[in-house]
Amino acid sequence: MEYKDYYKTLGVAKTATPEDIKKAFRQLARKFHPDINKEAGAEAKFKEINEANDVLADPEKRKAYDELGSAAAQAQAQGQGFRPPPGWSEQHHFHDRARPGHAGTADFSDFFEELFGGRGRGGPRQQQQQDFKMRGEDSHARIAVNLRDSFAGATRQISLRVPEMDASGNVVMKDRVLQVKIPKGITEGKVIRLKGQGGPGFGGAEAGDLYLEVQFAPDDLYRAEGRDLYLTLPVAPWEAALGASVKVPTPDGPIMLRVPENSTEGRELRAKGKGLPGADPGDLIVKLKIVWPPATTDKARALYEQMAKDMPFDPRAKMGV
Amino acid sequence: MTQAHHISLLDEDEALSREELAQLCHVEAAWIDELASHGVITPLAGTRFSAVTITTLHKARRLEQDFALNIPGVALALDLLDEIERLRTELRRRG
Repeated sequence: MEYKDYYKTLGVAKTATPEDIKKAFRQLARKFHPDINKEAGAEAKFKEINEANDVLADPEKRKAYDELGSAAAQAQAQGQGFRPPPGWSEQHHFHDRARPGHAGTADFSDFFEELFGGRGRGGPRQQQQQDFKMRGEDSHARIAVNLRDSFAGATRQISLRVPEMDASGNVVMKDRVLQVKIPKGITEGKVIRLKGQGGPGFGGAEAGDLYLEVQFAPDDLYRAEGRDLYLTLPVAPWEAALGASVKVPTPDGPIMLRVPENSTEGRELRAKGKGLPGADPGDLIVKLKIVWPPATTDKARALYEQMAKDMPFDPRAKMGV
Repeated sequence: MTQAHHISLLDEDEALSREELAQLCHVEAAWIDELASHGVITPLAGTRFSAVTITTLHKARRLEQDFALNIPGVALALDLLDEIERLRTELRRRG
């Protein structure tokens, strides 16, 4: 198991006051909150910050964590991995405080679970909850989908760490694999609801729902905005100047597109209905990019020289030079 | 362990009453009214809301709890996040 340096996670010294810790946590939470920071890895970072804060903001847990201290970190550095000292869980009993909404109750690291976890590992709290019923929490996750999957629909396998009730009614973290059907015509930002796949309910109450927000994985060619797809299409100078029918890729197979004569760099052409499918399918918006063949052969050089000689063209005419 | 699950897509065209929405999101209907009064969510026609409003409500709830915001604060944060998203899209379009 990996030792977690919670002080490093929050960027505070071991001597930090509770106020220092609170401030550092708040600043980092604002920066990495998954609703605010859409970058990959932000959510994982946010969970680490919450975990570190859960321990360091609680005097009881912080004291116990400090007791483990440098010996544990040293063992980790020497590649021995981390083991809690014998008798740890008998000496320490931690009570769960309510955690903020987003972090939810659960998915903290194994390190945390070993030291402070065991939610419902016996203890007074659980006794009280015997005849207490509460619906499970709704949980949220993002799911990366290939935009090309929107054309035919697809089944994606996703792995989640989710809290589950074991046989004796304790909440344990389980890795769960779900098969999720991605409906045809899905667009970014759409939300898929999986009924009863959220957090477990207490006292026999129903589980919460799992909400998956669809995000498109970056595609080499296309960019999606709603149902419209954007594609940058390289064209030769003579295709742009003289006009041409060119073959254009779409996720649904190539189409022919007419490039009008005297098209300039950046011109946008619209292929109606060739975007993401649906009752009202999107368009494919093709942005022209003029690319020039290099003058690497005598023939090419001769052609460029002829253009330079015969075409009165000053690209810097408007710059007053 | 692999299994198939009952899934549903939140549908723009599916209209929910504020009571249904409150029940689905486990919030008070009054809280929904307050968000609506700040223009955070807008009913379709009359008093029914699109099912995609659920996502906004969840987000509003998380921001409210995680940052101890009040409703005007939530409304401001959501507006600014929308604006950032719009600018990012614009940036990608130019890139």
